This record gives sequence, C-alpha cells and structure tokens, in this order.
Amino acid sequence: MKGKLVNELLLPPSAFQSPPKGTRRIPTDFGLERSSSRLPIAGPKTVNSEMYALIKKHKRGFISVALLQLVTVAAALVIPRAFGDLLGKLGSDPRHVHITFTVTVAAGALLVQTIFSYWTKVKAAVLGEFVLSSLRERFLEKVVELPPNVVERAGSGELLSRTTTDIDHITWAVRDAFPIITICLVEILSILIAIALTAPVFVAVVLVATPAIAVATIRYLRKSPQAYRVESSSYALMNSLLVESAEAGRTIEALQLGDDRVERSDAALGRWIEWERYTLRLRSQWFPSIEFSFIFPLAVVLLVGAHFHQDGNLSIAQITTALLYSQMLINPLEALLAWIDELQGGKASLSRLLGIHDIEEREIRDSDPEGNEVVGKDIEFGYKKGRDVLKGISFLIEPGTRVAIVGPSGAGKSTLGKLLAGVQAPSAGKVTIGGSEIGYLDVEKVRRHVALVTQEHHIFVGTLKQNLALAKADATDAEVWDALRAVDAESWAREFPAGIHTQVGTGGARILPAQAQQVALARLVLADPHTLILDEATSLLDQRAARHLESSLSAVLKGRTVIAIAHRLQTAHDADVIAVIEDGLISEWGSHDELIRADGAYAHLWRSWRDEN
Amino acid sequence: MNTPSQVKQRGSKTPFDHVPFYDPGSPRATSVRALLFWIGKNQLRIIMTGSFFGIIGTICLALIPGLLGRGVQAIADGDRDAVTRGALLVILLGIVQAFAGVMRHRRAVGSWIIAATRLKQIISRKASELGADLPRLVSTGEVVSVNNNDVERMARGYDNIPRLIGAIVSFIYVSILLISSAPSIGIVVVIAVPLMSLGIAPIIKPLQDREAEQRKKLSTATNLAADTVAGLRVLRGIGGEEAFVARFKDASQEVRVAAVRTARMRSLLQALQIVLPGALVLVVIFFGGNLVLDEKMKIGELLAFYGYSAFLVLPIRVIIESAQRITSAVVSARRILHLLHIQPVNRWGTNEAPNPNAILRDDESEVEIRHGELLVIVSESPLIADDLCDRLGGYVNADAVTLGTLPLTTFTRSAVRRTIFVQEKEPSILSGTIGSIFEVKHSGRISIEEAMLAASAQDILDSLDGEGLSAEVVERGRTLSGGQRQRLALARTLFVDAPIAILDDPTSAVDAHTEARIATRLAEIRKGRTTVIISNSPLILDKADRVVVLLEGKVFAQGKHADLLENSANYRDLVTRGV
Repeated sequence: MKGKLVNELLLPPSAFQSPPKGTRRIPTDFGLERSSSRLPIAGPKTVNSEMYALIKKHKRGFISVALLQLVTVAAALVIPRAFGDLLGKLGSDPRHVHITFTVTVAAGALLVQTIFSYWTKVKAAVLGEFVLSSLRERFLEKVVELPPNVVERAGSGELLSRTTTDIDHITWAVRDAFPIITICLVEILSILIAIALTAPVFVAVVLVATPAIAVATIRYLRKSPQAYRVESSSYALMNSLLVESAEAGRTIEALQLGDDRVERSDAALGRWIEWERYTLRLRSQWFPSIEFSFIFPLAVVLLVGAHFHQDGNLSIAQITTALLYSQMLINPLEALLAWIDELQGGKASLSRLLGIHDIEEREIRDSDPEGNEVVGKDIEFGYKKGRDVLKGISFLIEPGTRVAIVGPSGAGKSTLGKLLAGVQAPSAGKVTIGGSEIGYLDVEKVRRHVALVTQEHHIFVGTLKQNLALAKADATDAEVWDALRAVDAESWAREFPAGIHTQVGTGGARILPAQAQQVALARLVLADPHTLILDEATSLLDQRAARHLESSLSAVLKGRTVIAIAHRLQTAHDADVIAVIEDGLISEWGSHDELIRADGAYAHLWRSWRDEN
Repeated sequence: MNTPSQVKQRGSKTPFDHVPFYDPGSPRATSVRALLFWIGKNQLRIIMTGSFFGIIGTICLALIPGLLGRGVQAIADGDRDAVTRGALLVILLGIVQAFAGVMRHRRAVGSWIIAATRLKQIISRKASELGADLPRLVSTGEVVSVNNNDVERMARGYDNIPRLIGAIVSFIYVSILLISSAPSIGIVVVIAVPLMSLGIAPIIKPLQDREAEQRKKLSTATNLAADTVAGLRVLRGIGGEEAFVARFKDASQEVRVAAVRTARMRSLLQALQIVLPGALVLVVIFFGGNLVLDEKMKIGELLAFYGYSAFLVLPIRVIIESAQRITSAVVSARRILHLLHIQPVNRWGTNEAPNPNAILRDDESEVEIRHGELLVIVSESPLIADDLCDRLGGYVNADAVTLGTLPLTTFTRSAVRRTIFVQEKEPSILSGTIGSIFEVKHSGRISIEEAMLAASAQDILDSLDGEGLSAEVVERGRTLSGGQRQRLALARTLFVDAPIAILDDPTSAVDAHTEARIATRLAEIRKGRTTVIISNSPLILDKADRVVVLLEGKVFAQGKHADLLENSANYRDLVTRGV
C-alpha cells in the first residue's frame, strides 16, 4: 500500500542515493558521508596508512613467509623443467635418456615442495592470525576509549554492528589476504625468472597479456571498493531491521505492524540485491578478460616456439618447459586477483572499523580539581542551532549537599545532568567541580570526582561481583555485599545459587530491570566519587521500594554531593536543596519548606503530585 | 512456483532481476531434505543453465592439454600449419571458456542470491507471524545468526552446483579420452585420481571439527565485544575498561590459537593436494617416457597425458569442496528449519467478529472490564499487574480470558489485536521519523495532533533534528529521554484508538504536572471507549470510573477512588504518597 513511502522511511535520505543502475562514476562516498550523528568511516588514506603500519609491524613475519615460499616455488619449478628436458631428449636423442634419474630428481623436488609448502602455509596462517587478532584487539581498545559524548550520540547499534559484522567480515579478507598475496607475488616472480632462465624470449610472450589484465583490473578496482562498501552497509541495514523486529516483537504485534515490517525488510533486501547486481556487473566485465588472458599466452608460446624451433634457436625441451611454466602462472595469478578482490570487500569493513580512529578526540584542558564544590556559571546548551535547551543557568552547590532537580519533562533536566557529569561541555558558560571545567577533563580524572547513573542499565556477562567491581577491581566480597545492602539488593542477591559469584548477563541468571538499576547504584557505591548525579536512577523500582532504597543509600553516601533528577517528588522532599527547572532556566531554588512557603511552581507541583488540588 | 515477476526474468540484465519475491511461498517443509529440495526446485532453471555453462567451461579447459600436446608434436614434426591451427584453436577455446566462465559465475551468484533472498523473506515472514512470541522463544542473537550465517551457508550449497556438474562431466570426458588413447596409463590415472581424493577424505572431518571449534571461539569473542559495546556508557561512566579489554584479548587469543590449529590441518590438506597429484604425474612421466622409448607413444601425446593428469586434480578438488559445502548446507538447513518450526504460544480460533462491547473477564484475577469505562487497577505487585496485562491481551496463554461468553482464543489473532490494544510497560519506539511512528492501523477518529496533545507530547518535536513530523527518531528512541519515549508511545496508543485499550503504568516516568494533564485529557479522549490503566498514582486514580485493587493477584476491593481512600486502610497504604 505504501511501497514507495516505506523505502523512503526505511533509509535515511543520506544513506543511499539513486540506485546504481547505469552508474558511470560513483561518488567516493556513496552518500555515506561523515554525518555528525553517525560514526565516521575511514577515508582511503587512513585505511592505507593503517594497513601499511600493520604490515610494517609484522615485517619479519612477511619476510620469512616470502623466503619459505621461495624455496617451495623453486622446488615446484624443477618438475616441469625436468619433464621438458626429458621430452626434448626423447624427441631428439632417445639413446641417452635416463627416465629413472629424471623421475628421482623430480620426486626429491616434489618432497621438498610439499614440506615447504606446508611450512609456508602454517607460517602464513600464524602471521595472518596475529595481524587479525591485533587488529580486533586494537579496535576494542579504541572503542572503550571513545569520548563519552560520541558514545552518547552514536548509540550502541552502529558501534555494535561494527564490532560484530565488520570484525567477522575482515576475518577472511585481512587474515588471509596479506599472507596469500605475499605468497602469490613470490610465486609469480619466481616462475617468471624460471622462464627467463629457460628461454628469455618467453618472458615477453607470457607478459603479452599483462597490459590487458592490468587495464581490466584497474578499471575494476576503481569502482569496486566503494560498491562493496555500500553493499556491506546495506547488508548491515537489513540486519538492524531484523534485530529491531526481534526485540520489539511485542510492540510490532500490538500495533499490527507485522506486514509493514515484512515490507520494510523486503525493501531493504531489494536494496542489498541491487548492489549485488551492480558488483556482479563489475565482475562480469573483469572476469572474462582475465580468464582469457590466462589462456592466450599458451597459444602465443606455441606460435613463437614453432618460429624459433625452425631456426634451431629453441629446443622442444625449452618450449615444453615454457608451456608448463606459463600454465603454472595461472594459479598464483588467479589467486592474487581473487584476493585483491576479496581485500576490497574487506577494505569496506576495514574502513568502517578504522573509522573509529577518525573520531575527534575531545578537547582536554587539563587541571586538577581542588575541593568538591560544584559550580555552574551562565550555562547554555542546545542540540539544535537556535533552540537552546538550557538558557543561562548559574548555581553553586556546597560539598555534601543533596540537590533535587525537578521540573516538567523536556525542561532540560537530563541535559543539565550530562553537563554536570562532564559527558559534554556547555556551548557557553562553565560547569566546574573544584574549580576545574569538568567537560574538558580527562575521562579517567572525571570519574574520580563525579559519576552519572541514568535509567539506562546494562548487566555485563560475568559474575554479579564482576559487574559491581568495575570501578574497584580489588573490591572484596564483603565490600560487594555492603554495596548491595546499601541499595536494598542484598536479599535477591542472596537467593542466587552462588551469591555474588553467580553468572549474570546474557545467558546467565535473570536480572529484572529494576534490579539492574540497583546494580548500577551499587557500582556507584563502590566507585565512591564525591559527587553523584542520579538521573531517574530509581525510576524502574516501584514507589515504595524506591523510597526505601533512597534512604538506605543516603545513609551510605553521607558527606557526598548527590544531585538527583526525579519526577517522584519524595526525592525532592528529602533533599537539602531543590532546583526547579522550567524552560531551560532555574525558576526556583531552596529547601522543600522554603519553596512550599513561597507558593510558587514547586508548591503547585507538590500539591498536584499529592493530589491535594 | 510462478510469480508474475518470474516472467520478467527473460531479457533481464542479471539472472536475479526478479528478486525479492512478491511472495516467497511457504516451504511447508517437514524435513531438512524437503526444505533443500523445495528451494532447489524453485530455482531449477538457473541451476540448469548454470550447469550448462559450467560443463562448457570445464570441457574447454579439459581440451587444452590435448591441443598443446598436438601443438608441440607439430613443432617437433615441423608442421607449421598444424601449429597455427592448434594455436588458433587454443585462442578459440580461451574465448569460449572465458564467456562460459562468466555466464556460470553469474548464474552461481544468482543462484545463491535467489536462495538467500527466498530464505530471508521466509524468515522475516516467520518473525512477523511469531510477533510478540519471537523475543520470548528465541534470542535475538539466534535469529540474526540464522538469518545471516545459516542462510548464507545453505544458499552457498546451491551456487556450487554448476561447478560440481561441470567437474563431474569433465572428469568423465577426460577419463574416456585417456583410456581410449593409452589404455594402460589411462586406467592407472583414472583409478588413481579418485583414490587419491579418498586418501584426502580422512582429514576433512577433523578439519571441519577444528573449524567449528574456531567459529565457536570467535562467536564467544564477538559476544564479549558486543557485550562491552552495549554497556559502553556504563564503562565510560564508572571505569573498568581495562578489565573488559583484557577479557576480550584473552578470548581473541583463544580464537587465534584455535585458528592456527585449523590452519595446520588445512595446510596438511593442501600439502597432500600437492604431493599426491605430483606423485601421479611422476608415474605418468615414468611409464609414458618408457612408452615413448618403445615408440608406442609420441612426445606430444605424453605432454597431453601430463596435462590431463594434472587437469584431473581440478574436478576432484571441486567434488571434495562440494561435499564440504553440501554438508554445511545441510547443517544450516536444519537450524533454519528449527526456526521455521517454532509455533506461536496461543492457538487462535476462527471467529473474526469479537464484540468490543462485551465484558472482558480474566478468570484468574476475577477482574471484569465493562464497556466504555475507565478502569484503573491498583496492584501491590507490579509483576502481577504485568501478567494480567499479558493475559488480557492474549500475549500469554489466554485460555482464562473471556470476551462476552467466548474465550479469547476462539477469535483470530488479528481480530483480538484489532479489538484489544495493550501498551506494555516499556513500549518500543521503532526507528524512523516521528510521522512513521503513527503509520499504524488506527480508527481515524483521532488525529495525530490530538493524540500528541492528549499525551502532552508536542514538546518532543522541538528536541529532535528535523522539522515537525519529519523529525527523526533513531534506534528504539535512544535519543529521547524516558519520559519522552513514554509520552510518544502513549500518543501512539491514543491515535490507534482501539475499542479496548489496556495501559500498563503509562505515566511512570513523567512529572506530576504533566501526569495531571495527561490524566484529564486521556479520560476525555477515551470517552465512550473501554480503557484500563495500571497505576498507583492518585492523579490517575482520581479520574477513574471505577478502581479495582488487586491483592495477591485477586480482586480485593473495588469502587471509586475517594470511597476506597476513606474506607480501606490497605488502599490508602498502596496509593498515598505519604511523606
């Protein structure tokens, strides 16, 4: 009913432009430009320099693979030569033929070739696996170092697809490509040298098709990397659609959107196929010219051989050997081209992986906070130009104060929370803790002073203790239990079969969303920064449980500055200071009793919350 | 199967212009074999044409050693014309082979894309059929892995068929050629080549085992990485990155070790693939050389023999590879079939016309919902309330729920969804624009603006990129705050305007002012319709026509909010915000 519409909705306008049908020149970016809301994709420069760095780092490995392969090929070249000589002698001088000798020599060579080939391949695989594992480990290292604002903006989906799909993709391409390309190059060069040693004229002959191969390949490679890149991202899009369908199954069924999902997924499938079609067209032009270029030199060897044989310049032995050598060239050439092709596909994933390296570091203005005072001065912040969420807020929070931030939804409370936690820096004004601008401090330094817990929660795969001990790796069991007690989580944790050593997270013991919020708070207790920002951190607990948790938590957090954002007003009632934020400004500031007496916005809010109107 | 789009296939530019299918069909497959055959049967044409080109291509390749042998013989004999003829024939064969090769490749790619597309379409339809049951019955990871890896492996089983058939035909052809021209060596070669392949066979099983082990380790590592990324905000906020990176590095190193073990086995296989054919070539040289000495064979023929025996390795390799691919296709087909065989939790009936004005009753809790009322249910346990919502909507076994006199399960699923709308506790916002959130079946009585207003959600538009309804929401509404997500979902529910709407704590994340506004407007916009709200908020309870209190899962008390407040201490305890 709305096929066209679906297409448009499915794909952000920037993701794909018109289909590639009849495309002559493809924009380098394919419309996947570095937009601010997504993670960047590395440009060819980054990819090339990273690949070069990788190879350089493993230089010795590559050299030893090359040397081993040299021996392998040298042995492999013996059999055709021996056979060629034998054939020549059989033709011209049958009296002095030593078949047994020839076969024995060839058998020795075969043995050497076999053993060294095994050795080379194993060595190449070891090397490839090293390159690959260091690549994926570096990627994850880089990911966990991403600036918090980038993590915040990119969302986990895009990052997740790079971590899973792209790492899987490059597994084949990167791991095998480099060593195999090395092997093939060595093999091709050795064979060419062997041909030259047999009869130099044939080198020219076997190279007769090289320009054709080069032209076809360059033409192909000019278009293919980008095409493969879009192909793989359209494949990723298809996946994220399915993930969403699987996770939001309930909502989809309730809204009777089943057919719509099917339609969307068909549309995404169609897009992917369109790109498959395009890359197939590219290969359809490339493959035949390559394949013909393998056979063509054989005919030329025959013709040229016949010509020079008549003059007595070439023997049958030389011609036969050259024929066999030129046939030997086919395999490594074919493999080389196939792996260059494969590498293009891998490069697409690689450029998505390496895109992480292109993310701008956050600006660091290093300083050491002195004291625990939290100060905001004329803070302004907006997600969109011209529409500030915060419009100039100033305040001073003494150490140890419990502050509640209240106000209508969308007034900018959560934004303020992020600025206070240093996730982002304000566009104007300053947020300082102990005199240091928190938005410009090193992440590790920030978290020693301030921590933010929101209603989003995640339970990691591992034991419950591991989940708590993130911030304090050396936490004892007793400390972990204390932290759980402080957030009212001791009782359910005790019920776990192995207590805090029970496996939780995907595949482990089930933890309810409300319990996950308790875990998040218990982490905070262990981390013990002097300033805590809680953004609806108990919203998933029911009312009474939340209240109880807050009181036991505040006993533990005595002396800490706690800034709580909550829509439940009992939090505000219990706080030392309440800040009412309305429309990006602090409209009221004071204790519960003061504000009730003032009979302003908070007093109204309080009465309506208590249903006393 | 005949779809309209399949007719288009003639004169198309690629062999898979007709996919995705308008209707991928349904396999009704009971066994793995049936599934494999069903997919194959539906793309028989492309498999056949692909095989045709596969045969042409490999036969061309098979002819070349003979031509080269004759060419060298002609050079030795000084017959220039024969040399030229031979060379031209080689060029001709090269052209035909290149053409047939690319045609085969196109059909092979087409074959796997068609198979993969059909399977993916069937899986997405299955996902839609399972709907709410899907996340409960299968993990997302499992669905994605079947949809990617298994579909790909199964489809790859088809793309190999043209090569396999080409290999078999060319093997037979060359065998006949060899035996007829020199029976003694010919028979040795024709018997030795398959024997050698059998000699390689014992390695294949351990190789596959090691590969499986490696894949398992890789998926463990990938899951660890995914887990780390999913919890990245937590890590960035509180620390522990190093521990996670270290954990991943351990897993990654395990993958590496497993991969090297696999590589050893694979290298051994490759070494055997060198030494065995090599030995055969030596045998051919030895016996063939002696035959030439005895003048029973010409040198050109010996060269051809050498070429043929080297050539025969190719079809054998293809056959072994095909055996591997078919094995993994079968394994994957089993996993796909397993997913397709998952059945929904409820067995729905055929009644298409439920009466939305009848009483909806849950026997377990004894809750009765009357037509047109705004009923608010107070429960001391949120979990019990969630279960009640699931039952009333037929999302779990709904045998205990009746609409009028009929059990809910006597109706069709779509009729129930049309009549009863349950907004779960944490409803999902699907990615798209704000406008696309409202692209759902709705009564038409209420406009998007009215629904947004009633849910106090107009301000959300201002906080997003893009103007008005074209503003974009990404990834399950992650860019929105909890309160914003909740209000957007509420607006969507009000827009759908179902005859019976059941809302599970729809205002848990909004502030008091907004909640009060929502309570008033919601009561108004739902006038004349049946509405059930699970909530403990006095602001909502105040607007209720009737309040039902659940204690230990059963109706404990009911009446007006004010009366209950006055008469029941238990109720006061549950709903008052005593401070």
